[in-house]
Amino acid sequence: MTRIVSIVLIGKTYLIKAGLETFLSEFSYVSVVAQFDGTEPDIEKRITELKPDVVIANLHHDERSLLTLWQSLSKNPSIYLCALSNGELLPEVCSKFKIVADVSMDKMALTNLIKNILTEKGLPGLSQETDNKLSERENDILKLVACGLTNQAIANKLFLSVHTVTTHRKNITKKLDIKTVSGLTVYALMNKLVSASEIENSH
Amino acid sequence: MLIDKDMKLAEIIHHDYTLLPVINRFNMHLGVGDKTIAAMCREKEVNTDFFLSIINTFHDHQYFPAQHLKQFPAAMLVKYLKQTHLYYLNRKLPDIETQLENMEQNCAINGDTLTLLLNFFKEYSKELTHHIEREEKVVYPYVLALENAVETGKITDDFNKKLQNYTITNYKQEHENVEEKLFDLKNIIIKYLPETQNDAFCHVVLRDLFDLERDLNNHSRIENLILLPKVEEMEHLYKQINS
Repeated sequence: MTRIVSIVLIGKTYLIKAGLETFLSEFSYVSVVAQFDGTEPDIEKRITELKPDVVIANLHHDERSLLTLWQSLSKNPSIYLCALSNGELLPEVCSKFKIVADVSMDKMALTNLIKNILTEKGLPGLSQETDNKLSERENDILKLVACGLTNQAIANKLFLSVHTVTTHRKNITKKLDIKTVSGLTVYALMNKLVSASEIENSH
Repeated sequence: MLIDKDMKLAEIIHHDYTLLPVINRFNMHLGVGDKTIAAMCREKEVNTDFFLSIINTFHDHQYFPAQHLKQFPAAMLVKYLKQTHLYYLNRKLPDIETQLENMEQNCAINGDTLTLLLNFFKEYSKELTHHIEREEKVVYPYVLALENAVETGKITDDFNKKLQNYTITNYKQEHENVEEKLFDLKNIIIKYLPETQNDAFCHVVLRDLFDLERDLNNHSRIENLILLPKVEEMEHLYKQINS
């Protein structure tokens, strides 16, 4: 199963964002999920919550904002940061970004840039996970989550560290694409990983 | 397309029928005849500029004139948001629950799956209702009292006490993320529903869930990006007056 690469655009210039969006709409498996102008409060938090694959920032006129953005978003290595330059961005700023595109680039050059990003992200053709099935360990943990146990209680029961349990839970959420405990419980019950009486008894 | 006051409401509905619930919130109902937006707003005593700002925000997700919307009185924003709450509580949530009950009775899926989904939705519905009630009982009265205090310059001990106990930053923390449950419900139906020939009922539920989600996202945008900053400004102003 091939997933869709999500992109966030940042920049004050509406025309550039609109142009980028139109250009990106020609690609399969690519979707612009949000646009910001760069001045929004909590912008880094809001972007992080969206968990985009790529962030394209047209902030070449405001290098300080660009660097602030880089500082907070670069903490998340799965987000590819792309700076849009007008040819005047300082080399030390450019070097911080994984990708630097130039507004003067022609369609072919931009297309190759995007194709490289998609290839690095494992697209098209290759899926992120060949199999979204849960491992046996993940099934065990899912069962206990459905029974309402805390991460610490699960760790104790399975002789794991809390950190390991958290990692497993993140993987479970990623594989199933279900975020809430109630959602996971429904899934577990639907797939008979746990029974209603088991859940009742553990509460 | 930017919607304008000289356009006919009928044309707008033809163009984007998803705006119907939004129009309802301004006490405008079907059988709109040939009235323009301007005429309808005059008739219903609605601020035309505010109406257009809200409608365009719903119609085009890219359109969000935050600065412009912040200029409207908090009372106008709150009145609109309250009408939206009524829509969720009296129409959308009960409708979806009924559809899920239909699904439970008519889709030939063995086992408890459909009951599980119905119960999951009921749980979500309760959470959303609780969140709405809290907003109506605590947050909105606070916002209106604050606006009144800033406008009249009247400082009362009672309000000062309220301000000490509760500022809008509390609201920010309380603005729980109920959206994740809604997403999970949609996703479980889309990906994990056992295959059934008779999934027409499921389509109806899913469409309603997507509609609700879209409306809630717009609603949150207005609350988070317009009302909250506006209230923070008023709190700041009030503290200045008070000192």
